[in-house]
Amino acid sequence: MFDSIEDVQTALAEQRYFAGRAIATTVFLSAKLGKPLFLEGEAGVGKTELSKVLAATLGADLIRLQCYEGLDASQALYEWNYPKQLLHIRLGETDSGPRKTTDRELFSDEYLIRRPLLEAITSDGDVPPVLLIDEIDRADEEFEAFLLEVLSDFQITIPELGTIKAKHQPTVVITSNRTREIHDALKRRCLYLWIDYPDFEREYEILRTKVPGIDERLAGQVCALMQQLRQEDFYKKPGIAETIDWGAALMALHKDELDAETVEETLGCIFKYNDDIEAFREGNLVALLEQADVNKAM
Amino acid sequence: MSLEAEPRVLDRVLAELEARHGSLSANLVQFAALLKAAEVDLTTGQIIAAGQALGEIDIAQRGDARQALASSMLTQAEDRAVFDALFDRFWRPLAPDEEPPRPEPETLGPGEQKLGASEAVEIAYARSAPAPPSETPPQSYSAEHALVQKDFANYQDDDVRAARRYLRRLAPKLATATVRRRRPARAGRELDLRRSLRRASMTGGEVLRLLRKRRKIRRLNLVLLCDVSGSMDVYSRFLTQFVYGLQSELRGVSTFVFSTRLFDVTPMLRARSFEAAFDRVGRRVEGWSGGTRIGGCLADFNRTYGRARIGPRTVVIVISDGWDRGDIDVLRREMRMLKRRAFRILWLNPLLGAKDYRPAAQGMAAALPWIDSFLPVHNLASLSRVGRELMSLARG
Repeated sequence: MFDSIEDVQTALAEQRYFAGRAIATTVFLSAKLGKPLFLEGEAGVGKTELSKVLAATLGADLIRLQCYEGLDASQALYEWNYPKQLLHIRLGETDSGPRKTTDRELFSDEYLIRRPLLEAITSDGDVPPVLLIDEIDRADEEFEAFLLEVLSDFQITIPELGTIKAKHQPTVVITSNRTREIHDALKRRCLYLWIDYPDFEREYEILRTKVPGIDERLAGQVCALMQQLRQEDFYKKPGIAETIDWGAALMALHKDELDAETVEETLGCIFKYNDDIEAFREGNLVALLEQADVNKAM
Repeated sequence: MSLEAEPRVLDRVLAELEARHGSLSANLVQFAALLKAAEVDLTTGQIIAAGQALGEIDIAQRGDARQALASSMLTQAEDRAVFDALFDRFWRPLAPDEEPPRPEPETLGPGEQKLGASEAVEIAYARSAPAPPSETPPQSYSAEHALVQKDFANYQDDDVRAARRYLRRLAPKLATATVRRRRPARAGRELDLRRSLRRASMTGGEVLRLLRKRRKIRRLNLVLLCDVSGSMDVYSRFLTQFVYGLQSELRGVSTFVFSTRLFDVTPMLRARSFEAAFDRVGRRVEGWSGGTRIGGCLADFNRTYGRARIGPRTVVIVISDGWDRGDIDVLRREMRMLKRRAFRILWLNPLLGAKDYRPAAQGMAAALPWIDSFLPVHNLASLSRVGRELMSLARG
């Protein structure tokens, strides 16, 4: 558990996540008040990374529920192991003629498949797990209502087994890329945090840590250019992951300086859409590079 | 949350806060009221969380207090600009040696700052209780029949109220006409193993009957792009109200208005009543009527929202008369881009209601090749046709 906001910042930094004061404050409050964290922001700003790092910091298991369209209770909560149940019924028959298989045998813990939500609730480690509900905007709205129910009292009722209550409440992190609006009722249960792209200093720090050995000057150029590119109109603006990929690629190519040719060769690291690559080529790269150099100098 | 009633929890939290920080608790309540007046929806639970949050931090650190309140009282990044403006005005620094408030770039949301945060603050401070809308007696059948055919542009005030009532009744009717999600179904495609096995255990483990279930309907996302320049305004309002009535049958609706610029008004339309929502839109959106630049606005949409708001099951509805004062080549290019991403594009044009209409407007002609359905939208009858079209797409 954290004692102060600075404490959070230090602990996250030890895991090589450089959180600004606002992020640290919200993480701190979420731990103190026992409220889920709701992280929103563009793809690639480090929302998922924050929850991973949070788990590592707390020494907790990370249980991840990746959302997708059509996600329902049997995928999120639990399901019965039907093949195993069938096998059990058949085995019962061969022993000594037909006998009645009871509900109690078939619907016991042995045949229960725990999906992430149930796993998080029944976890009995020393430290409550971190439950990451990733990209909730991809799931259907019914799932939000269902999640709201689970998050409000951290207990789950399985008709055949009864009610299961969490021993300790898991640390919950929900992320959304905002492809649709999430219902306010769910957000109100949480502490809301909008995460933006990092500023130059933070991105520089991240790059130098994630790509050890990268030339200082090169790292500066890369980050400055990335900052510059995010000001432009692209369908998919490059995120932190792109910065790291690009930095690593430049290292592998033994580059220690950015020039127009090098950028052109490695465009695939920065952009994921051909439209963006074309738009970039239409732009004035030399001017962009010069501008990036000027910004860095400031 | 505990079993205690929320107001009692709130009282307790505020009392604790008062014991530690004196007038802070009263100020928090006042600040919450201001936020509400600025149309940031707040629940008691959130005010409780805010009170608890303040109890956990060093409130002399202004930046921390700001973030503590923001994360517990806001649910969307767009409200952050208004929040910050209110915060700066309401929570004045306590001591002269305190550092001045500085914007924290990492927590500022996208977009909306330009929509006049300071104006919202003024309104919040000045806001008094609005007068309740007057109710008119219900209309007779024949009057309603005439209303259904009447062009929106010729509406009087009374017609508007009657039409709103009509739309409120129409939307759920259309919606329930769709196939409801039936999970267990006799002739579904998938086996319902869980129920089959439960039953098998009653018959000595013999699976006598295979139970089936039907796949859930994959619902539609909707993006509305509403031209609000000049005469289009009235049609856009009715369409938006209508579509929001259908919302329960859709996965989500995003609404944008455009004339010379494009605005995302989705968050503003979340208010409970449409009358209030539209007044809110009207107050906050500049360029509500004026010239049109369809191509440029579509480009804005494609670039800023296209990837995020349009998926494989997204229907885009454009409502415009197609009179574009901008570059037609841009419109053509952006329609092509839109078509590549969207599931269907419907274009609604009120002029289509006129018998002799031909898509003569340059913009309209340029857009036509990429449109799946081209429909009129001038009266209630044509709106209900749009509704049926949408519902059949949702079912398909």
